[in-house]
Amino acid sequence: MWWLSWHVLAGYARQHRLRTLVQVLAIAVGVALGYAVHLINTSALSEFSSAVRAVTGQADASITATRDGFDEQLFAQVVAHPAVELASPVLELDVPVLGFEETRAPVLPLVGLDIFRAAALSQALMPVPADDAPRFAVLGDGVFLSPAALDRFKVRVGGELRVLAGTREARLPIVGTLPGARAGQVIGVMDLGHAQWRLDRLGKLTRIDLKLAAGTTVDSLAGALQLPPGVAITSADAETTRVSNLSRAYRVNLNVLALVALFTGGFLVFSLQAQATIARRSQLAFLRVAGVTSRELQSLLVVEASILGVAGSALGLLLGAAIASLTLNVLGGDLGSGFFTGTRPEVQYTPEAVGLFFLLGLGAAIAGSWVPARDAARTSPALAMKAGAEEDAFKPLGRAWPGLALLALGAVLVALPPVGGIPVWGYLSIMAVLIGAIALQPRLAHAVFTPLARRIEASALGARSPTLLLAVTRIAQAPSFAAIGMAGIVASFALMIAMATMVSSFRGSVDDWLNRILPAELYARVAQTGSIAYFPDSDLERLANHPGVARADFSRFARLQLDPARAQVLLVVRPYDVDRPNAELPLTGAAVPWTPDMPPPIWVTEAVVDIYGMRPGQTVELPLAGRMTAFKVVGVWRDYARQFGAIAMRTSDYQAATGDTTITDAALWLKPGYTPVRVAEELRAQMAAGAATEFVQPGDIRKLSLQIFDRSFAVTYVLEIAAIAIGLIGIAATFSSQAIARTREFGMLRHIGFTRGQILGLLAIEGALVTALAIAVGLATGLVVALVLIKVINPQSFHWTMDFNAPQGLIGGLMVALMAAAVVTAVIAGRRAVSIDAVRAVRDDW
Amino acid sequence: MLLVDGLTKHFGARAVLDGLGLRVGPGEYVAIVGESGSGKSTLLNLIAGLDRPDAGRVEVDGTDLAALDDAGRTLARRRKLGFVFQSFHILPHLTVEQNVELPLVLLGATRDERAQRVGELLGAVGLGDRGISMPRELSGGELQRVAVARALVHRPALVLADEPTGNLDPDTAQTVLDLLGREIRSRGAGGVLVTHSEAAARSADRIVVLDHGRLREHAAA
Repeated sequence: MWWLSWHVLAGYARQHRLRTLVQVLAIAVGVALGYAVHLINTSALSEFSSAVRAVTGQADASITATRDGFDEQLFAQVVAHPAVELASPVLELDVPVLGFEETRAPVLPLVGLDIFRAAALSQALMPVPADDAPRFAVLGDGVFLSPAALDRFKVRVGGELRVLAGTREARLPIVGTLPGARAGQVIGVMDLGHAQWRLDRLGKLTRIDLKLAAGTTVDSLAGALQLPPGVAITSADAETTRVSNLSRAYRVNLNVLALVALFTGGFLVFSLQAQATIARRSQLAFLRVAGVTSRELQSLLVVEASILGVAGSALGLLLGAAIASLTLNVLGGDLGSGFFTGTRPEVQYTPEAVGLFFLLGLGAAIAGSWVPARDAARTSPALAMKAGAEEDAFKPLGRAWPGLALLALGAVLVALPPVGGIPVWGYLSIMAVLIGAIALQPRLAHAVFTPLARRIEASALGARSPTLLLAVTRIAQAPSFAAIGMAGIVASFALMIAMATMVSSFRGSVDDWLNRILPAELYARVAQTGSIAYFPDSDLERLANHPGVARADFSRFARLQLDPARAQVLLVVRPYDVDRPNAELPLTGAAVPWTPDMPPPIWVTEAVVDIYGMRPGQTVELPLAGRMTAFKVVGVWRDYARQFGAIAMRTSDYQAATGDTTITDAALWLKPGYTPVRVAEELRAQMAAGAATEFVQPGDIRKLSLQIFDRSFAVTYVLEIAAIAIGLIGIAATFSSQAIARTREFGMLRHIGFTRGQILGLLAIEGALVTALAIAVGLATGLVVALVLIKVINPQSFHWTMDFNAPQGLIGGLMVALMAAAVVTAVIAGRRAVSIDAVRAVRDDW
Repeated sequence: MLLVDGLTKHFGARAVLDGLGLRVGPGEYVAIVGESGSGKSTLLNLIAGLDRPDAGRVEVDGTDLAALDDAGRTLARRRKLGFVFQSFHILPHLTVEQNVELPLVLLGATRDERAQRVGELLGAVGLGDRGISMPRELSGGELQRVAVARALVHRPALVLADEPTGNLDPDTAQTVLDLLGREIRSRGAGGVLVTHSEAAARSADRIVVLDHGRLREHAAA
């Protein structure tokens, strides 16, 4: 069989290099994108895990809380417990660094450690004093910075770091470095006691790293310790697992999108293999007559596609590795999601991933060739050797039931719940809808073009334009032949429409949402959310009493750890009006009536409903200031900024529950005649925390937010463009191979008096008609897939909903471009076919 | 070599072959003639095992093809039959040598065996110097001679020729017919030539006419 594979099949591949190249490239691009995205995500996650490991070191477990921390009394209780062999107290803070021209003060992650206890657990963070540092520098009030931190803040050992601690400035001497920190890791270390003192956190810890006594498990220790609400004990791997869980939906989504290109490539392989078997129909039939069994023939054709798959996969893996390496070097590990910001990972190659993506590429090629191979093997050789038998090829594809069954399956799958937070059934539903729609294409072609052909024949148009009549009649009579060429176009166009509609719907909804949540004219924030800075009372007075300010609403943000295995939930504290929550919160439904005899009201985001099951009308308990406090859920709001949930709470209720009156943010409404720029400049000059305060206008936030949105979808656009490119290359290859397969037919037409121009016209009309049908089917399918993405995939993956918004201009433009590309390539491909001498063309065999 | 007995084939209600019988011995070359639509191609397809009869028996070199499944009939064709077609069916991407050696490849012959047999057959059909030519470089008559060489290269028991001169001019046609008859006889194979051309039929040892689904003797060639 190798002789046949090499001489008969490879001979054909050598003869039709473009077709072969397109098939190899279709697989290669799909594999390359999938593998690159996988490598980037895996490498970033691995790097992130290593960075976490560098901080937590060799600890078996950690007692953790939010950055607000817990009372250090807990340490005494923990260290005395017999199950604990070693305990290391840690204070982690995000410290705003002053002295920069940037609108927002950059933040340094600073770790306060008991150096002697930490030495046994966190070697990577062991400080090394400078040669000229004081003798006991590791116990002093100086800070040790990683090389990346020295670089980021443009400081040197021996100098000092100006930071904002609460409401006042602190100057920390830089006394050494952290040579064990990972490349690119911005971090600082201080003695624990001095960090608590200098940074206004006396008596507070945020973490205790533990080495457990032999035979002790994390669960048994958790049961033995009396931990206050909001404080949890987690195993050393929990943080890595948590980050993995947080980013999983995003990573899966991106991988699926990348594999869409491979999926389209599979259809292109099908399309071109189908045409290649039609073009070789009599040759393959001869092999059957000469003694090749149907099973051998099918195997031969599958082997042929497998060779393409092997070549495509190998090329794709090389391309993918190059893309991943380049991306990680240029952009870092974050593809725009924000999950892996600040890491600079190395590409992590594993044989499992290489094997997986190689097999995916090979599988796509084999799947694409299966139907054409089976059709060729099952066809009666006696029938196939007759001239003109090509029109009978792929007749079984004209059956309606497989397509309808797949569409029905898609409808069933879409209703199923996600599996482990991943919309597995949603993705499978999209696949079923796409394949179903493509499977119905021959039937649709028959249903549309048969009556059309009859009408044209009956009308004067048929007599006036034999070219038109011939084109329509041919498509009507051989719908499978016409439709298989369009499989790649339907797949790529449908996915193009789906992605464009999803992105447009998302962007439109984000835009509306930004308008709703940013009602004021100027916003002020001291440093970053979660940092240790806040406005002093004097600054609050200046903000409220500035002559240009008509109204000032103050707020603060805090973090809640509702589940140690999940991301922290953001608490948005503002003076919300319980009677008019819609004024500042984009509620997704009606608010639940609230009366003062009920627990204080909170409004939760869709993510909180999905993840924690908090529903309107329920009374829930939240861990605030070390104890559980009851609240009534009175509404659900849409939030695109925090995928892992946010809870809105009135300022008065928060202060009553925590005693914390600090304020970090202000929303300002201005009086007529005052501009935001002027008010911001005046306030900055007057305020004590002016240097660390960021003033922004809603327009800037909106612009920045949409920029971030576009950046996070940049990868999606690249994948989309790849799918479009594969589709367009597919059109060229499809028409080219169809035109070559019909050389004999064109020769006959030339014999009976058709001009070359008329034959090109015939090809152009056929190309336009078939592409029009492919576009119509692709558009309908794409909009259905978009609905699944919007109504199922996004809510299940990211817990947010959006309003459907199809970008009509873009879709119209794409349709016109695709149609023009199809007609032009049909004619260009046809020119080659009609240029062959008419006499030679009607000769058999080539 | 070939024994056909009681062969019956219907297409719908119409009986194309109706209890047909035929016997072809070693080295015997028989021409079957008949009008278009008389069932010549159907008969040839049944003899070749490309179609199954409604009734009757087709025995080639002692093997009843009708009793075999598709794979069995295919393997029987591989070993026992050679074909010559009206439209040549020479694979365009293979050289002349490769086209001729194809049946030997399917039978697992060694490279040396193949080279020896291909050289012998190409020499016999007068194309000894065209082995590495591509089919597109050959005339119609030369292509049909390649087909004759390919049909005989694996020493089949029976050679089936379906209108082998239909696409050739009269002089070339006669050359090919003479060659086909000579090679079949000299190699001791049986030969069945299906044609509607009286002239072509005269090159055979015996002519039978297919008429209303049955064969009747015509005249000796």
